[in-house]
Amino acid sequence: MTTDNAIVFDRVTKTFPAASKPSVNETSLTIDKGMFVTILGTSGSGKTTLLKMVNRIIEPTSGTISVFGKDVRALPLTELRQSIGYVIQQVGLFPHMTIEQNIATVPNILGWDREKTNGRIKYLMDLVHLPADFRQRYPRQLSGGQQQRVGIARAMAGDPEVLLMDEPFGAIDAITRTRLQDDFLDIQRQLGKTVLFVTHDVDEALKLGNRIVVMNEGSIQQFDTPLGMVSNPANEFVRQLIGSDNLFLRLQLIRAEEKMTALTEPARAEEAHICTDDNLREALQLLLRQDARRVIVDNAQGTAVGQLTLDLIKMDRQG
Amino acid sequence: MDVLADAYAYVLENTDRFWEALRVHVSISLCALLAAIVICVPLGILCAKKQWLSAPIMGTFNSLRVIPSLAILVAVLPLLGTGFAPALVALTVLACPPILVNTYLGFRGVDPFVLESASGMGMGPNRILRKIEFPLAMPLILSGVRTAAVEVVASATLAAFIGGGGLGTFIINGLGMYNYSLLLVGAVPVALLAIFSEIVFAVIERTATKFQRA
Ligand SMILES: Nc1ncnc2c1ncn2[C@@H]1O[C@H](COP(=O)(O)OP(=O)(O)OP(=O)(O)O)[C@@H](O)[C@H]1O
Ligand SMILES: [Mg+2]
Repeated sequence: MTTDNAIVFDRVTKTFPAASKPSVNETSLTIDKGMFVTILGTSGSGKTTLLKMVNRIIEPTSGTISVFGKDVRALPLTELRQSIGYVIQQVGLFPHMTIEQNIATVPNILGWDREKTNGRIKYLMDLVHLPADFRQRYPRQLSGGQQQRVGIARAMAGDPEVLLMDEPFGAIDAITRTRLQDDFLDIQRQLGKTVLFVTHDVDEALKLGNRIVVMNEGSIQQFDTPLGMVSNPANEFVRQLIGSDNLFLRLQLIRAEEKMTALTEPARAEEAHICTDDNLREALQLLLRQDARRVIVDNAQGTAVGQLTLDLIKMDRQG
Repeated sequence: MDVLADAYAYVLENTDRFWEALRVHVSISLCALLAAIVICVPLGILCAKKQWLSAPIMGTFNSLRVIPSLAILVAVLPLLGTGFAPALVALTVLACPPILVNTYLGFRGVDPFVLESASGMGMGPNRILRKIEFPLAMPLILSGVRTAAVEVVASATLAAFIGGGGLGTFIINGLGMYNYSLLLVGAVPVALLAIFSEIVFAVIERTATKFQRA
């Protein structure tokens, strides 16, 4: 058992008392360190149940779950949870505590000294883009989006390797949600945390996850990369849910860099340009709008490093 | 006005008796209030956590409330005799229901998602009780104690009926002798005490609810 496996579910089943069928059924799943895994599925498919078994808010009926090679039942409950970040849709900030007191929850349990805790609060508020003068405010003085930023900071206070998030942006308006997604994606890339993120928003799942779990009726239908999920849906359910028939969706998941070819002739300034990190959908849009023969792909420094043509993008349909 | 002036004169002439009555009145009220807090706050928490216990426990205390205080005083006479002790018991019974009910409501009213995130972050049950549930339930608990305090201060006058002393002594004597100024020697301080305890608790409540008004 290597420590590269951040979270391992081994034939995990959960049947609630008095329930006729299991909410999570004989589920096995291995999540590597640093993966951002989104869990997608319709309501009642068992996403929350799967997530909450990791920090033992729900105890499995059978099977084992381990975090970094260690059975979650090996540690005392409180100790386990202090080492795992937990964020829920309802945020659940402590209304009688200021923002800094909220964030200091785990450091206080762990008995950090004042200076260390203070430094951590400062670092985290900066990380989640909260102005420093929010420290003394109470949660109700913040907007929903700001509150969830505090929720994330609070969950990360003890520097946990693993973060569990249950529809954290589910109650937030679309524009604010996009900003939160972008910022959180940045944070995850920067820190390399292992994230398990429940959502029922397909776009969110594809955008955030580098792996997606699709669940239906307590079973995992497919565990794959976003592109794999769109290109090769395992069954009709996944195809329908993800919208795999949507070509644009597929193009959106492929970066220009992955498909570009060498420049056939030097790039000129007046030609259409995109970045290596932009996706094929944006390239196609440019090609069509400008009625151009090719789009130039620039790297981060603005140097032309390749080109994309309509034929190249068409070829991609065959995968 | 004459009656009031007479009452004042009486107090001046009998300072020792007056202070002694006031002291007994205040101490019997405080003791009853403390006893009720010690009994009912834990019971209220228990009811909130173990739902099946709440019906029998709350029912018992509420039915006790229906019995007039005087009846309780008389009922405990054979057991505890006269004086301070039976008065204390009767007043404690009187103070219990508001504290019990408000503690229960205060704890039930804590947002379940706040509790979920607290335990999800690794706070143990004791820590959650101290750091989360108590502070959040405190405004309601305090308003229960405040209601109880006013009731107890006013009802402590009854203690005099069974020889418990206190400001009620003046009232009973005043009534018996048709001496209205003597009656006022008891009644006015009781009213002032009730108002005073209202004010004290209002101030305490304000500090406990600071976060709601920030
Ligand atoms: N505490 C519980 N007691 C009994 N049944 C439960 C409990 N929690 C969940 N269930 C059942 O388990 C199944 C899966 O629930 P779960 O909350 O995991 O779904 P979900 O995928 O998170 O759905 P949603 O998108 O609506 O949050 C549902 O059928 C639900 O009714
Ligand atoms: Mg759910």
